[in-house]
Amino acid sequence: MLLACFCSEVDILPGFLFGLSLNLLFCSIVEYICRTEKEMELKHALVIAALLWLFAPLIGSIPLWYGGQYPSFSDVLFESVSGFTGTGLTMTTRPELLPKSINFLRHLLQFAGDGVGIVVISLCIFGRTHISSFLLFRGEAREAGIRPSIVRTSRRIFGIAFTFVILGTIFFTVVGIKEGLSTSDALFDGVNHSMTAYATGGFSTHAQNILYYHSEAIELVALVLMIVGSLNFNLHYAIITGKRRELFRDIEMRFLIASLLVASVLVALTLHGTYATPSSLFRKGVFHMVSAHTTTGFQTIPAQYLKHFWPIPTVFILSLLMLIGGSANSTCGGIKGLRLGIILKCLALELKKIFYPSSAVPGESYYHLGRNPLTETAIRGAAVVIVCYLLLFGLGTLITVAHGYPLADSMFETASALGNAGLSCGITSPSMPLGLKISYIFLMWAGRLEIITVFVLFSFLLLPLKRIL
Amino acid sequence: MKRILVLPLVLLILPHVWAVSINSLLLNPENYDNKLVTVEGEVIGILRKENFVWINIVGDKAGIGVWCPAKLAENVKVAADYHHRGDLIRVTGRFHAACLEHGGDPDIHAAKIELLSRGEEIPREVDWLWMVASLVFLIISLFLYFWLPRRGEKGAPPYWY
Repeated sequence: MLLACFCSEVDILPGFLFGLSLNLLFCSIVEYICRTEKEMELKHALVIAALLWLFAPLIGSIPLWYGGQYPSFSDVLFESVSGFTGTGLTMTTRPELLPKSINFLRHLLQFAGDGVGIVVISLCIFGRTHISSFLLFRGEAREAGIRPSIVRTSRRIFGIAFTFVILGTIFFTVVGIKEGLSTSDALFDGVNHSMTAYATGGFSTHAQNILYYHSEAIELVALVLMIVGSLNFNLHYAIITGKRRELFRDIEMRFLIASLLVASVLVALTLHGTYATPSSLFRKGVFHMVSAHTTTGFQTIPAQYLKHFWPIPTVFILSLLMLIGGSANSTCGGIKGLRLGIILKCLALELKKIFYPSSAVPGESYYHLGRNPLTETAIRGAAVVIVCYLLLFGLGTLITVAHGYPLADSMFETASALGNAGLSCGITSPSMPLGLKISYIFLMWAGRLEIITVFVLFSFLLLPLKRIL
Repeated sequence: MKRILVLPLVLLILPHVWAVSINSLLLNPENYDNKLVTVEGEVIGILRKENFVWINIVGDKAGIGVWCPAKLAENVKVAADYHHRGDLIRVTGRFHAACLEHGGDPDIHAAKIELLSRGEEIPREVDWLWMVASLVFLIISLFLYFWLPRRGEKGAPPYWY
């Protein structure tokens, strides 16, 4: 609201006021009805998290709707869900024409919902479930109640996130001015892009996304922030507290480095004929590979190029990277490196069993915030989520194909929505069918909440019905 | 006789300078790569460097960067935003699907820029009825938030204490 006043956008203030009022009203009613002195249980926390990521976008969509730049409410809701889940798929074809305050709100939604919000919820709530990728978080979440741990963890996360965002803003602004932007534009873009880069969100203030700047230096700043945002929050904390060795011992970090190396080789091989010089091949290939793997969604090529210029194998690799995602306890979406690492360790264990004598009992362990034995619970938890992700991916692809889109494009866009990535080959647009918009809204929501939370919500809602029937 | 002479000449030149939409360029980059094209679009960004300028323009559904010497772009001044309609320009230049000079970016190296219409300010008016209604709604919501009795709060401190 302050920015709207500062940028002479008073005409859109009612949208912000209505949004704020509805938020207060909603909070008052919820607190009146639901307040209790009983300690919150895990199932309640999971249901609250699922509902929060459903209602918050609804309230967040009101200022966007009042701004009048979106063709329909479904587009506004899509944009808001994409913001809160940190996906980055956008329904606006001309972000430049949005009021600055609305544009800032879009980016803030990603930072608050995905950059900070999801990490807090992940550490404090999801971390208690046996199926979560945060299974092994060994901080206060295990010993203390949920509420105190949320307060303490939030403070820590906010501190670290703000540090990175401020550093990112400084770099983006300085480079932006050097590249020819006015100081105010460079600062505005800098704040917004550092928020979405750290949150691995992918919204941009420009229709051409990062390509707008035609600048290697800006791409480099974005690249560093995307990687930082994709790292496990516990690793940030370990590095700050001087435990730098943790960085290279962690199974997730090793998986991330290995998958980036393998993907680099594959992308270089498949993109070889498209770009004439190694430098442009490296610049385009590495940027999009990191953008997909960290589920950020920044692009330095037009969406049309993914369909009509880049080879299909490269597009498949990017789809796969978006599904894999980054680290647990980070701002990334996707299946997460920890789960895939556990499954790979399980595969290694099974192979060991074949080659070892029958009397031997081979064991396997992995390093994630300490040395952990590979238990059946961890394997089952990882496997269930991977299967759920793949099922949803198949379903989403089928729905997209059923709407008349080609298979490769459908797979790419579905992976982007489910993995909360935001890279687009052009399917996501205001002209997209309503059924597909609703399907993608569901995929973004389910992907952000790691699917299981959604099942918990459905069970919670259906259980009373079952009792009645 | 004249027609017979002119027609092949026109057919020869036409594909190279025919105005195409930016979207067609990006949908068929290999067909237009390294060819002379003419595109029209609204200016959405001007990045001025020492001797050169990047002008970002947007056409029907897509945008592209135009790279040109600073002198060519002297007349391009207004970029589109919430308060302005951007300059409408026609650019003639060479399209690069993956420019060797600019790290593989798709761009047009302009040889000629024509200003079709100057950008202008868009007047924005405040709807006072909505403004008053939203303020009243905010006051009611604030009142409810601070005065609505909360269930089970007797003597219990708020959870953030």
